[in-house]
Amino acid sequence: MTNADEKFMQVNMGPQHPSTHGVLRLLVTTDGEVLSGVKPYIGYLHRALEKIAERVTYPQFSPFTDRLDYLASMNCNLAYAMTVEKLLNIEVPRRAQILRVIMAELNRISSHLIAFGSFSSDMGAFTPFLFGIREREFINDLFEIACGARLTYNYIRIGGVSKDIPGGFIEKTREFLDYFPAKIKEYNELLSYNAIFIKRLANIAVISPDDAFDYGITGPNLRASGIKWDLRREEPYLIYNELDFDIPVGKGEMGKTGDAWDRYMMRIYEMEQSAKIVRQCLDLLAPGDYTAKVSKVLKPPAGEVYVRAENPRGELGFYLISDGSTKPYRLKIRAPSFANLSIIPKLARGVMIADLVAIIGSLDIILPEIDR
Amino acid sequence: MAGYFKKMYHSISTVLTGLGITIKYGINPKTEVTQQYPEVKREPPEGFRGKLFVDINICTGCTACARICPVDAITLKTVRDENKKLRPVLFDIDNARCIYCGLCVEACPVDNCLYFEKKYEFSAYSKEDLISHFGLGEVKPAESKTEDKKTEAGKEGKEAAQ
Repeated sequence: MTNADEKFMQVNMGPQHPSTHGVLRLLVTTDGEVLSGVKPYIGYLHRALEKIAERVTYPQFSPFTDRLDYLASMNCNLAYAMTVEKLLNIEVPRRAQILRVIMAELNRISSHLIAFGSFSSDMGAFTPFLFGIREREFINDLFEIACGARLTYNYIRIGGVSKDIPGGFIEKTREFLDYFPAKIKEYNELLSYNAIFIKRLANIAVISPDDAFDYGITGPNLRASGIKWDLRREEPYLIYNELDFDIPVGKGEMGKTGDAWDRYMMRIYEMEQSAKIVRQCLDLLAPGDYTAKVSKVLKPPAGEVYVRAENPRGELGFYLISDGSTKPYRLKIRAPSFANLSIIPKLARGVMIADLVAIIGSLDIILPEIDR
Repeated sequence: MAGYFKKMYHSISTVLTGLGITIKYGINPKTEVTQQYPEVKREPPEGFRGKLFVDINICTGCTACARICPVDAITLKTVRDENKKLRPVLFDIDNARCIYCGLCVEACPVDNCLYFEKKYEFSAYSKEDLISHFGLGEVKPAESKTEDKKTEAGKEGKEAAQ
């Protein structure tokens, strides 16, 4: 070590750190209290999911997609099911499409609730975390009566959904939608407009629109930078083109556009919009088939497809190559969190150590999806 | 100067609003959401995916469940009995491997043969205790063993051809 190097100190943040949202290791070079460099090390959760896909049949891979982004399993199931359906040219019945939208949007709400809660606890406020978990339990109960599981749903399948919703589901969902707006108001009073919280986040880790494009950032993080890009609008899938909803965009209400507070607030706004979508879908729900007729042994023709869908954390893409057998030849997963994570070294240069936690929390990354 | 006090008022008022909400929940017993788990247990809803159960007497030994399982949690061995019916002599489900995805239950062609129980508490001290055994054990094999021999011969033939 030379004299010049002695000025800096290298510290590990993680892999077991409460605010890294999983097992992320950051090698932090500090100059006193200021960061001079951050290098993320990933791979602690690697399970070779892409390789597993080559060894199991098409329907068998569906439960593994639950384990990509475990806070938004429904959305991951949906993207995979749409990929295989595109390869097989399966037309999904209308009722199944509406059910899929309901589940995907409810899961978006529950995922954003965790983002809201864990971000607040990273910032030193523990109470909002419990508030977020409380509402998430409600959604978990809804999923439990619909499919029997509370975390790894495996509900959206190739061709439709695994089973029709039982009686009472619609009433319970309406009950939740009536109860939820008051809770969002409470979150805003409790945390969003809290002066200390704003001071902590405004003007921190600003992502400019150019940087967002360069790093391939998607989802709420991109929209917080002022870019109106949402796949549900730009490339409508399922029945999203019939639905009326807004796409919230960061406006820099408390500081610069694209700062940490904007990214946090995008999720609150999106929860409101998702609740609006679910309400419309419940009105549209008409009797019909919940799944298309799919043969038990799937043998898609040889070819390749790429399908992307808007996940709570950004754009999830599946690139699938089929060689005409019952198993995929190759499956590449484009995980949104991976791209979102890649901007951390750029954002974290020259900030204080405590702000690094704010950066990770505001990007809302999830590790199982990055490592796969 | 006025701006300074305005900022101060804003900070204190927003913090107090937040505290007000916390206190409101703290003193109102109606807002209690937690359950005293080991003493009070919740009843899982209909269709809950808990522990797998097999009604072995109506199992036809078709092995559809073992084939669809993505994690190979089901071990199945069948033998033809005296009526030349396939009987499962070995039917082990490794609950430690099972991911409760429900594919096997949907694949089972017999009604109420393989299904999820509402049981969700089955921790054990060793991995072996997590395997549930449903197999019939001994089954009186078919009297004429010609069929078995045939299949064996066929297999050998195939291997030789390869």
